[in-house]
Amino acid sequence: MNTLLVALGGGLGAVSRYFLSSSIEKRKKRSDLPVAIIFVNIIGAGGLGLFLGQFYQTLAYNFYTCSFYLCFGVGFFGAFTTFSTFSLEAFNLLQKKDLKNFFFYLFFTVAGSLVAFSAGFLFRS
Amino acid sequence: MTSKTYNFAAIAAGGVIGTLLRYNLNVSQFFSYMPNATMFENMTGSFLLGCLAGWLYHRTLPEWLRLGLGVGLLGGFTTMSTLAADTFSIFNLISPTNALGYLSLTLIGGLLMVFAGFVVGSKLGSRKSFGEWEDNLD
Repeated sequence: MNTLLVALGGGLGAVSRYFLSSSIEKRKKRSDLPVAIIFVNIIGAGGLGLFLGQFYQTLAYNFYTCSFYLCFGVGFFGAFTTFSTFSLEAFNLLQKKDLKNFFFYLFFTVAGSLVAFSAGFLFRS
Repeated sequence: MTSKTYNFAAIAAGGVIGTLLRYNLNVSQFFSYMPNATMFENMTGSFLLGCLAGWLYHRTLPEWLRLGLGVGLLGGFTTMSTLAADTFSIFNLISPTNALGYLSLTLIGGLLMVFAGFVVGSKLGSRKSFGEWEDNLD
């Protein structure tokens, strides 16, 4: 049952990420920064923070015993955000020797995800 | 079915498989400490996506397969939300130094892994003997 819930969340998360990132990609104004992946990761991290704050109010808990968390935390938000594409895009910027945007990209993603997660978590907990 | 439907189906299937792999690694006895599992997944996922990008530098794959593997499978296997959550937890429950260490190791490691993967994938993709069966995929 838990496997099914993780699978359901993961499938939905990956498809939603693609849907959101490709629609941002179509509308975006600047082509030098991977804006879509920045947004997706920040929204996903903030979403996980809100989810944890709303339903658990703690981080010291064995989440993997809870089916509800497995579906949304591990499945949906886990698959909605991505680290591999983030690294690849950062590597591409380095290859282009675009150091300015490389550091922007790293900073926006890391600071953005952390701030979004913390804000989401603290908002409800 | 349109090619768009195929793309979505491939991404969903890849996402399911990637997420299940991540879940099973997370609960396996192999990693006694959860962030280690996430670190491992983010590193291997970055390596493999680097491989795919390196391979695609020389060759083509059908769009659905490219998206299924890159966006679905490896996107679902790796995660940024858990990385943020783990960094926040380590910061609060263990120490800020550990949180900074965990975060910077993951970031630097991810970049190095993509680079290593790109070199390997690009080597494999440029090999002539690999070509025959591969060309039939399109």
